[in-house]
Amino acid sequence: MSNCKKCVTFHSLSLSLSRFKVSMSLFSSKKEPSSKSLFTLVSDYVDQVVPADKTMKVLLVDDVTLPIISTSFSQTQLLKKGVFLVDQVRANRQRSKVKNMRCIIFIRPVRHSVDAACEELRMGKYSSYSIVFCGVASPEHLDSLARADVEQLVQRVQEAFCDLCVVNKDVFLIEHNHPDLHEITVGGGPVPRTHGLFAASIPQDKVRRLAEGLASLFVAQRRRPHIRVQKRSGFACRVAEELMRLLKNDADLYNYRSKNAVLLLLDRSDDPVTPLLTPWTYQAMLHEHLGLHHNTLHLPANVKDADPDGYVLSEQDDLFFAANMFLNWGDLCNNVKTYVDRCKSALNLDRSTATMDEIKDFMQRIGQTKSLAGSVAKHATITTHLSHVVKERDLLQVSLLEQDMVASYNMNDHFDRLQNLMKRQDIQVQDKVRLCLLFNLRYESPTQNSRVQAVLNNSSTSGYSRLIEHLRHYYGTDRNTEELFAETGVLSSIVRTFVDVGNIYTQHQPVLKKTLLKLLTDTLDQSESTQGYPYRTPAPPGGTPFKPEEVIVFMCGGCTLEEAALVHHINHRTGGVFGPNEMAQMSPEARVLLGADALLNTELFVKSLASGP
Amino acid sequence: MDDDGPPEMRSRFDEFKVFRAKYRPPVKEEETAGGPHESPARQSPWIRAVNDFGELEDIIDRKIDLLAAKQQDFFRPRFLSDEEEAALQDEMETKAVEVQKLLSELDRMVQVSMVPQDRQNMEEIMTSVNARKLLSTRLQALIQRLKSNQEFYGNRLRRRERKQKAFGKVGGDGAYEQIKQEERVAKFMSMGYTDSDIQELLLEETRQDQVSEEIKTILDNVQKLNQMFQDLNLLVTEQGTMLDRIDYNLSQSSQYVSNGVEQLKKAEEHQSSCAVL
Repeated sequence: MSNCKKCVTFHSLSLSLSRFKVSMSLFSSKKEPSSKSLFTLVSDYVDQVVPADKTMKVLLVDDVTLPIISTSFSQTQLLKKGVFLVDQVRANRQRSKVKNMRCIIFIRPVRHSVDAACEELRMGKYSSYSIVFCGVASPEHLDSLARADVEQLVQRVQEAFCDLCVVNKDVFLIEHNHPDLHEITVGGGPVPRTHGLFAASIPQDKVRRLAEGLASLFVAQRRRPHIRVQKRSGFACRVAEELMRLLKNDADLYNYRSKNAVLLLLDRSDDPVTPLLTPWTYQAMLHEHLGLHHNTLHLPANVKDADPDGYVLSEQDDLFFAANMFLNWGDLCNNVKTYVDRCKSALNLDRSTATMDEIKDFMQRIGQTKSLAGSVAKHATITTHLSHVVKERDLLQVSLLEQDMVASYNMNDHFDRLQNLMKRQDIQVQDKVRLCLLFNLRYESPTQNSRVQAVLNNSSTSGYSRLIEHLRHYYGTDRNTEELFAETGVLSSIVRTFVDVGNIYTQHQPVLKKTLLKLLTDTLDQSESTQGYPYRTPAPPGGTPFKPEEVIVFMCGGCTLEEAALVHHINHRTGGVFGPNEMAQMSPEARVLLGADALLNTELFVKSLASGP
Repeated sequence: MDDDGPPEMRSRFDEFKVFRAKYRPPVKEEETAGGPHESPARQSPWIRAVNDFGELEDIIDRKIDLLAAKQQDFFRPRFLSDEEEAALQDEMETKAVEVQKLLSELDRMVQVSMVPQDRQNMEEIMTSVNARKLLSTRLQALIQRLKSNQEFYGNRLRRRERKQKAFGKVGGDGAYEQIKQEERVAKFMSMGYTDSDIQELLLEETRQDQVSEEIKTILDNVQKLNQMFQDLNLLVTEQGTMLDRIDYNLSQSSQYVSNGVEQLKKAEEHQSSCAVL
C-alpha cells in the first residue's frame, strides 16, 4: 500500500524532474537492501488492522498506537480505507451514537487503554467493534473486555505485532512514555525533558515495555533471533531477562527458526562520547537544533517563512530528504542550492525558445512543479535557519575542538583552547559544558583532581560541575576511556593526517562501528566477563564462524542519529564504513536494524545525565 | 527473510467468546454481525451522499473506460465515409459530455451535500469533513482520468487533421503562422498569466488556428474540467505534509473541540451573569 503510494509519487516527481532536467544525482539511486523497510512492516500491519471495505469506520487509538501509525501511515491512506474519524480511545468528549459506523479499537494491551476500551464498549455507540492489540494481550484484558461487551458487538479480537515507532527504514524506537517526563513545547509535540539512563533508576515497567516491543518485532519478522547482551550493563541484562521470560511464557507464539538472526542488547553507557558531539549530518542536525518528534519538527515562530503547522521529515515520503539526510552539512548546502536553482529554472521556462507543445507540457505538469517548489521552500527555509544557528553558536569552532580531542592527543593545547572558549560570552553554556565533559573523558581520570571541574566551577557553568561525576559514574569509574577515542599512536596519526584527511568535522567514529564489525565477523567476546557479550539463548554451534545476517541492535539508554547514519551506510555498503577486507569477513547479506528507547541529542543526553543515578 | 504474504497476526477471538459466554448467553452470529442497519430515514443526508457518490463513481468509471475504448477504436485504419466518421465523432462527443455532466453532479455532491446535520455534534462534523476530503480526492482522480483521456484524444485528432491539411496545401504558411502564435503565447507567459489564464489563451490560439469544431469542443470541455480540478485542489491534502499526518489531524480536531467547549463555557458564564443582573 505505502509502497504503491511511494512509487506513484516517485514516478510523477521523476517525470517532472527529468522534464526540467534536474540532475538525478540529487536523488541518487541507492542499492535497496533485500529486506523490507520498517515503514512497510508497520503499514502492512495497519492494512490488516483496518480492513479495506466500503463501510464507514472510526479508528480509536491510544497514546502508544497513535505515533506508531502516524509515522508509517497517512491520513489520506486511512481515508481511502473508509476511516472517517480517528480519535483517542480515552477521549474526554461525549461521542453520540453513530450506528452506521464500525469501530476499530487499536490499542496497547495495558490496563488504562483496556479500561478505556471497556468504557467505549459499554456505551456501544457503533454498529460493531474490532479490537486489535499492538502486542500480546493477557487473559485478564480479554476478560474485562468480554464483561464490558454488553450488547455483544465485538466481532474481532486480534494481536498485530507492530509495537514500535519507525524513525528510518532501519531505525526504530520503543518509547516508554511517562507523562511526568514531558513538557509541551510551543507549537510542537511533547518533548522528553529527561530520560532515564542509569540502570538503577529504570522502572521495571519500562524494562517490560522494551522487552515486549522487541518480542513483537520477532513475530513480525518471523524469527526467533539469538540474543546477546552486553554483560556490563545492568539495564541491558534486565531487558534480556524479561525478554527470555516472555519468550518462554508464550513459546508457541515465538516458535520460529533463528536462522542467522541476532539481537544484540547494548547500553548507551558504552559510548557516552557520541551523544556529546555536535553532529553535522542533515537528520542529526535537525534533531540537535530543532528537535525531531516522530519525524516532524517545528521551526521557531520568529523564523521567516516558517510553516506554523510544522514539517514532516521522513525518508518515507520526502525524496529530497531521503537522498540527503545522511550527507554532511557542506554537501547538503550544495545540494539545497542546486535544488533551488533547478526549481527556479523549472518555474522559469525559457520563454523565448519555448514551443507551443513545451508550454502545454509545462501547464500539464504545473501540479508537480508546485509540489517541487513546496519541497524546495521547505528545505531551503530549514537549512537557512540551521545556518543561522551554526553561526550564532560558533559551532564550527566548538566542533573543531571536539573533533580534535576525539581524534588526536594533545592535552595542553586542547586545554588552552578550551579555556579560551570558556571565556567567550557568545559560546553557549551547553556547548561549554559538553567541551568540559569531553576533556574530562579524554584526559582526566576519576581518581585525580579534575582541572575542568575547576574551570566549570569558575564560570557561568558552575551548576554543571557535578555532571562530571555523573558522566564518570555512567561510563563506569573502573573503565579505561581510551577505547572511546581514535587510536593515537604515532603511525595512526600519520595515517590520519596524510591519508584520510576527509572532513575535519566528521572524524569521530561511534563505538557502535567497532562493536558491529566484531559482531558481523563473529569476533565479539562471548565470555561472561564484564567485557563480554554472552549469548542468552543457546549459542550457535561452533566450528565454522557464525556470521549474522539479520541483526537487531538495541541500545538501552537511547541512540543518536549519527549511529543511525552509520547503520544506513552499513546496510547500503556506502560511506566507506568498512574496508574491503572487513567486508570480506562478514556475510554479504548482513543487514542491521537499530533500535533504542529514545532518540538522543546533546541536550537530552546532558539533561538526562544531570538528573543523575 | 521469507516474509511474503500478510503479516503475522494472532486471533484471540475464540478466547474472548469463551469469556463473553461466561457473562451472558451468546447471541446468534447473524444478529451480532452488525452493519448499517439503521433505517435510512435517520441517516444524515451526507452519509447517503457518500453512498450515492460511490455508486455514481463506479458508473462514471465504467463510462470512461468505454469512451476510451471507443476513441482507441476510432483511430484504427478503416474505410469510412465522411458522414459515418462525423457520426462517430458526434457519438463520442455526446458520451464525453454525458460523463462530464455526471462529474459535475459529483462535484455538486462534494461541495453542497457534505454538510453535517447536527451542528452541535463534533464527531459528526469531523467525520463529514473527512468524508468530504476523501470524496474530493476520489473525484479529482476521476477528473484527471477523463482529462488526460480527452487531451490525448484531442491531440490525436489534431495531428490527424494537420496531416490531412498537409496533403491539401503544401507551403510554409501554416508553419509561419504557428511560430508567430507561439511568440505571442510566450509574451503572455512572461507577463505572468496564471495557469487558467494561459489555458484560456491557448484556447484562443487554437481558435485562431481555425481548428475544426470538434477539437475546439473537446479542448473547451477539458478547460472546464481543469477548473473543477483546481477547485477541488483546495480540498485535497498533499502527501508528506503535516496536514496528511494522522496525529496532527487528531490534535487539531481535539483543539477545535476544546475551543468549542471553551466558547460554550463563556456563553454560559455570560448567561448566568446576565441572570444575576
